Amino acid sequence: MNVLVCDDDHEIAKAIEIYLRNEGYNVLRAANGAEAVDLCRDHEVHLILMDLMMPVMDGMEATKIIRESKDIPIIMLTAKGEDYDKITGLNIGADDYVTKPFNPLELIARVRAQLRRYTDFGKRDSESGVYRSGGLVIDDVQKTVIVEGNPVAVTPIEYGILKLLTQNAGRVFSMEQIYESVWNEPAFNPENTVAVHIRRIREKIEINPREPRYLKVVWGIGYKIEKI
Amino acid sequence: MDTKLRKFRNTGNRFLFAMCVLSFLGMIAGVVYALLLNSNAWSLYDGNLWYLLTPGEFDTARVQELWTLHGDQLYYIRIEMLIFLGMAIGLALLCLGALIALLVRTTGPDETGMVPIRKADRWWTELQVILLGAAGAAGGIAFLRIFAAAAVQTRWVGLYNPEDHYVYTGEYPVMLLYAAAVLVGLFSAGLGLWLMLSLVRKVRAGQLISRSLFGLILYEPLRKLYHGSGVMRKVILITLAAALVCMTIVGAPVVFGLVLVLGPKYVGKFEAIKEGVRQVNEGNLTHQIPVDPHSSSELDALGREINRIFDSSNKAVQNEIRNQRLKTELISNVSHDLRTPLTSIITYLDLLKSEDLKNERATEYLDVLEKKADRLKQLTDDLFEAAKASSGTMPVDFTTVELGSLIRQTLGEFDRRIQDSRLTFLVAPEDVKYYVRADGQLLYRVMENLVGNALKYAMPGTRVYISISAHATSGPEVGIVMMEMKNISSQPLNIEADELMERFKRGDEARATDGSGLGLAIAKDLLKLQNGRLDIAIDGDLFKVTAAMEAAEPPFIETEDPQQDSPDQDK
Repeated sequence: MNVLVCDDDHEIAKAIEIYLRNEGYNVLRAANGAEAVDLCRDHEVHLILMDLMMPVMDGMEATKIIRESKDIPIIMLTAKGEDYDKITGLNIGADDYVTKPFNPLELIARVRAQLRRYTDFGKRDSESGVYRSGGLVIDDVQKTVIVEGNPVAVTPIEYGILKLLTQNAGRVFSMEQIYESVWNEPAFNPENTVAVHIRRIREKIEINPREPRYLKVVWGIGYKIEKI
Repeated sequence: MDTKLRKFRNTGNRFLFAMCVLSFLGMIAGVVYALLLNSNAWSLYDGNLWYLLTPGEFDTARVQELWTLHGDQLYYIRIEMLIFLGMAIGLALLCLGALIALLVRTTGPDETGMVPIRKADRWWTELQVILLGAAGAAGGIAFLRIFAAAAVQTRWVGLYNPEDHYVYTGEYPVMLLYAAAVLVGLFSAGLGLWLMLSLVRKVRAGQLISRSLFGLILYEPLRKLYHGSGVMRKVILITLAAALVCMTIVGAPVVFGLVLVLGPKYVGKFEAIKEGVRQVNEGNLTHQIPVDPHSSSELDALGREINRIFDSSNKAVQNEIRNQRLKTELISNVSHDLRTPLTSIITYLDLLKSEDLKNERATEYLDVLEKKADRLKQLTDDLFEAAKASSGTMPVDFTTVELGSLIRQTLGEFDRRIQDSRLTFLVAPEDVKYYVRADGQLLYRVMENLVGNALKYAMPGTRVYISISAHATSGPEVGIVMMEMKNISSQPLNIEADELMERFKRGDEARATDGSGLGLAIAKDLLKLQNGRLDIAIDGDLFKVTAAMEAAEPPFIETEDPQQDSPDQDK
């Protein structure tokens, strides 16, 4: 599996390369967007880690150009920490983003998740009783939760919440609605119960619970599973 | 001047006013009584008041005869008369004193050095003078007649007077007459004094003429014309001249023609200026009023001046936009430049950890490095958050947010740390919904900072109280929602509440805890971005944060149940 690391900071690129090699990936390196575009053209690349701020050609530009011909996952590396950058990055075709300074384990986990989704793409089954959102799969027949191919142990309440939200992926549920349909009793005073369970679930299924990919908080309104 | 003092002064003025009016009436009453006594004694004493007052001085045969004849009566009349005259003189002095005090206090310049003009002073001077005359003449005569009619009925003066024309006919009871006299007297004397004070005030303010009818229609216009600019004189004189020329049969068509030609031209210029100002006010900053650059016409000159204002305001706005952009760019560039080396530090520390380190101390040192690198990362994050929040360049996406849910969600996020902290968070009320207009994500960051603050600085084992309340405002808005968070500080807070909100300020001067000192400043700035405000109060060890937010109408609530796939509703 070939991963292209594109970063103008030599040391960071090298460190990422070490981590990826330890995981068994083959690494190509580019120092700016233009080199990345060239490497993509000449080699078979399965995933790109793209820094945003680079000389010659920046990450946004390179992503746009690569997207025209290739469908491979692109993960943005941003050091500006601007929400605006993240949104534009995702809009022009990046699949995920990681904010510098990143936790190396998180970066590897995201790479793995993106690659699995990319290679497993065709296998999406449509059997009944299975709900999915991206790499999150709820198998209601076997009552299991699978994230990026790995089974995750959840409690019955957590399972209930996950099932409700994944079934209706993209829709926001208030804490009261979640309580009433999962606990199956009127929500007189759900207090933090739902919020605490959500937090626990996120620690189990998300790579970085602080920046959740599946189970998102809609502040002051409720929770939802992103429709991916 | 503070309101208390003002209130005191007003009460004092009212008291003086009342005193002046009452003593004035009292004085007149005294004189009337004395005169009535005199008229009673008239026949007895040949009408000479002086004889009565100083009987010893006129020791003539006639006087002696009178005193032997009516000695007892005259004696009493004399004493009563002296009492009344003495009373009248005393009250006159009192009245004069009160009047002077009133004049000093109500017509003098205030602390700004100007004579304050009151509501009554806006009346035309002529009207005031007429009213003053009416109050003095009509009111005075009415008072005197009614009072005298009552007075002749009273004991002292009822001695002897068969022919006096004030003789009471017995149509009205005495008390009714007195009451009527007092009413008429109070009204006319009060009105008179009020008008007099107003007139004096106007004189002292130099506005006697300008606030009169005469001043309004003749004096002021002429004065303005005299002191006015060339344009004003030009326009008025031309108009007057045109009116005069119009009176002649030959001149009228010429004036008509000139008006038809010049009128539209100048009005058009004026409209262009009006339109230009409107355009710029509406945000079209680059608009320019079309003017003839060489014309010396007044309207063209005005247009040129206004265009110059447009230019400079446009420049200022452009500058501001550029500054904002530069600020944002600076923040994100510095952020990038700090985070890039930090990324290397963190990743290489991690790589170093997985190397085979023989030395035991090396791992220990590595742990320290790793902890400090994490702390540095946290500080950088906070710093940029604070910079972004205070630069005002952060986009705010307003929606309707239910505050109670948001607080519960935040506490849910902090669940593990709350359990480790031995703090209890109590939210009240639990079952009321408070909708606010805010950006959910930003409001969460406010709450995150506040809860994080409590977790860091609250005394372990105590309770943290969060209460929400809604308040109506006087305006047409929906009101505000207040959130209050109270906790007991674990350290003594020897610091001003305002200082705590400054950047990098921390409750512990030793800076032993791992906060960045930016939490409250960030929360405050973020709340400000959402049109809210954050206040801090410290009372001993009690630390209280109050967040005020705009209330919002509750959103449309979906009543349908969440769609379950029907077959597996197995609960």
